[in-house]
Amino acid sequence: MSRPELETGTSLWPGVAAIGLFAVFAAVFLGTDLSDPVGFGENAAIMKSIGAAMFNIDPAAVTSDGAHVAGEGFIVSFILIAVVLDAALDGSLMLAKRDEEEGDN
Amino acid sequence: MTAFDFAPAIALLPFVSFLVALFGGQYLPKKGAFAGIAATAGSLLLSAWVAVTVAGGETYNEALYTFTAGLDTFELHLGILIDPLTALMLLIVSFIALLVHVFSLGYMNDEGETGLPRYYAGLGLFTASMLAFVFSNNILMAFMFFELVGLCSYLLIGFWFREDGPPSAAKKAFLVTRFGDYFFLIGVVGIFATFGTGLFAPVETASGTMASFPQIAEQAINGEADIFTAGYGAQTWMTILGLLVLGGVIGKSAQFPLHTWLPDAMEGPTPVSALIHAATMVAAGVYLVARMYGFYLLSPTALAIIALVGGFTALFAATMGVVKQELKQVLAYSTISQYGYMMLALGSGGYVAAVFHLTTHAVFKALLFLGAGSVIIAMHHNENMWDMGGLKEKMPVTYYTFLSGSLALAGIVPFAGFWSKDEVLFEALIHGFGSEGMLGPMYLLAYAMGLLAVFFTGFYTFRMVYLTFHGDARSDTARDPEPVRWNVKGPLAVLGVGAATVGLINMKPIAVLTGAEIDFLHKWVHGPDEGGWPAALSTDLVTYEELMKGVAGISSNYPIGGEQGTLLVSAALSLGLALAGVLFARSLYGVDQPTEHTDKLGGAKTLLMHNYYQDEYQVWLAQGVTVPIARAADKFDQGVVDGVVNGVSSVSLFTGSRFRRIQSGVVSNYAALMTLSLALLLVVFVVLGGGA
Amino acid sequence: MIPTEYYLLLSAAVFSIGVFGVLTRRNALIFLMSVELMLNAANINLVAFSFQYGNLTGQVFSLFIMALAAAEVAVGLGIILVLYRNFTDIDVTKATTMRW
Repeated sequence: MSRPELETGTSLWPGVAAIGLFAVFAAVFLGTDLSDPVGFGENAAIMKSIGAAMFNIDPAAVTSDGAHVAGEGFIVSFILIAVVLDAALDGSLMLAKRDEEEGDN
Repeated sequence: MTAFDFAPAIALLPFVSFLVALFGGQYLPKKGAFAGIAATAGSLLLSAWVAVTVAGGETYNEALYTFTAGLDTFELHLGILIDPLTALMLLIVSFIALLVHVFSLGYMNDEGETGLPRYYAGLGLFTASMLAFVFSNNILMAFMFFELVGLCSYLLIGFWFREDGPPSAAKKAFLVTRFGDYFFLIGVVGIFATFGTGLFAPVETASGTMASFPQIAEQAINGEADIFTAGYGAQTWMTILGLLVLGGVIGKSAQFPLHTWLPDAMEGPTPVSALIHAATMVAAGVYLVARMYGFYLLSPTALAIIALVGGFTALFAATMGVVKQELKQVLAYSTISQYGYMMLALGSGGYVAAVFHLTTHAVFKALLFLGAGSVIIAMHHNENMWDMGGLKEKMPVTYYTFLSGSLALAGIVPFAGFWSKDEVLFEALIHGFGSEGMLGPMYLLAYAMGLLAVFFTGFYTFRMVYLTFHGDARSDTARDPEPVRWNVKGPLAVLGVGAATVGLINMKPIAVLTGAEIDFLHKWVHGPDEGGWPAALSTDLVTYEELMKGVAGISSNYPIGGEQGTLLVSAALSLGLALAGVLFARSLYGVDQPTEHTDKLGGAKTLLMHNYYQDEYQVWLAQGVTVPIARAADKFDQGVVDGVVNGVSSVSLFTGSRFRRIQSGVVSNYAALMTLSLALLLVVFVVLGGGA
Repeated sequence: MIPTEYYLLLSAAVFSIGVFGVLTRRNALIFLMSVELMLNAANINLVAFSFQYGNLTGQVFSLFIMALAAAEVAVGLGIILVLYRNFTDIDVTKATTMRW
């Protein structure tokens, strides 16, 4: 049975760049001085708030007892993403199908 | 409505005939000949009218067309200067041009030559350029037309371009004169840079008088004016400029060492030789020196060089003329020699003598060339004198006019050449005895060479006459020569009378001996004693004589019994030598069946036949010296100059060819590059402390 | 609570693993998987900061990124299909005709 193996057939030298990148990231992140995280508070209804933010609904109307979290309205992005997903679906279908037809000719 | 208003037409009429012959010549019955004859006749009439006006004391000096009007600097323009010298030369040029055009009807049209529109166009353009050169009022305009006449000479020498000789001769003429003209151009630039003007004579304008460069030069020598002299003294700089311009003069007037083109120029048609290479174009150089005489008189060194070159050339060419076998070749060397006399006169301060000899030479040399042309027609274009003989009875008009010209050339009294040549030698002699410093001996040396040349001149001239016309005919063509028509005999007759009589304009010996006032030419260039044109133009004899004595240090001394005694002795010497030469030629060649006596000269003959190897020497200079220099310059140009440019571009090409390998097509490489760049950017931001 | 730096470090590690995969893997599908890894590393980063500043925008945005990643994979697979058609191999080092 085949198990995952590190591929040694190719040159791994470009990977050093990735390791270098990680080193830079680590140096920066560990050296920053972030204050304590604010967090969201006890009993925060995060999921319901996210849903409300998506549709520009006032989160207080959806959650109970003031456990809402305020956020920005994302309705436009929501619609846009829907369109993009639809377009991507059609695009990939088009790429797959049209080339098949041309390949046959 | 003075004559001067029509002065531009003197040159424009032949220019119109040039255009007519060029564009319409093939449709005309005589292919443009009548247009040329009409134009030169018109120029002659206008020149005569101008001369009459000048005789009344009027002169003219105006700028007519300005190319560029400089601000605070010199301006370049075309203008007309008419003073007695100009008027005389205009008459000579238009007269000879008219006779040559008439002669061409017989030489070219009647002989059935082809391509005649080109010929008459060339003649028309030449006449126009020469006339414009004569009345130029500044040295740049003179240079322009100097070059134009050189171009026309090239076109006309190479008229029969389908043969081998003429195109090669035309190229040689053009290149040798061009070599001299290169120095002339540098001299012109030098004159403009030094004096800020190229005017030969001062011009009255609305804003005052513009001085001419001889005047400014004289002021500079006297310390009154401050000019650019390139670090030399004023007189040294004048000498340098004068010698530079002299380069062009030597080339154009075929003096040693730039004389080699003139004998080869005989490949052209004989009327062309008569007009261009005898009477007018080669006179351009001498005329230029005479025009700028006020400038040359400021430099004794230049004058000495002119005199020595002239005297040497006179002797040098005369020796070569002795052994030549072709008729036109003898005349070509004779031309070189006689222009040497004119240069000798100018160099030794004999201005009147030089102008006089210019006039007489134009007449008798044109006559001799046209006579040679008549003989050539008769001999069906065979020029070898050893095939001629006995033409005297068969061609009387040609013979007597040719004899008249030959007597003038040899300098036998009372023909024209005697008076002018004698005056040249006399002036050289007395100035040789009278001048200061080294100038005197130089003049005497030149005088000696000129005097010796008189013997040779008499000899080769009459050798030519006896071989051509006397004795028994030596070939069938000579026994039965082709007859020539009125259009050949007419000009010959006119010039024959001229050669006998034109000496009358300045018979100085008789004037001095008898006190009669018959030295008309002397008076002509002398002008009125007070005021008049000499005051306006400063190109008169009195001004020149003052400069001669004051600046150049030339004065006269009559060593043998005062002026009259010296005059008689000098005249007797030159006449005696000329007669000796003539009689010597008669004894050798005046027999019925002459032999080639020149063989007795042995090795000297070979040297003379090869023209002292001057042609080979100049070819060697061109091939052995100039070509390697040109090759080296070419290597420098291609290697260094082009190399730098190519090197700069090769850097760009090399960098580009290396850089494009980044586009390897492999996505992972691109991703690797991006990652590296991102890491570097982050480090830079961190180091520079951008942002929190 | 875990200090936010460690979440960032995790995100950096996942991102670097994704970059490593992009740089060294030859199979185009594995290449795409590595790109997915990088996107998810960004998600971790966004959520960590959302908790840091108490702002919901980070979490909402990471949802959008997930949707976008899906769309991108769909198109990417279509492209790999076309790649296979033209080069008969999905080795990214073989498709090198657009080069100097």
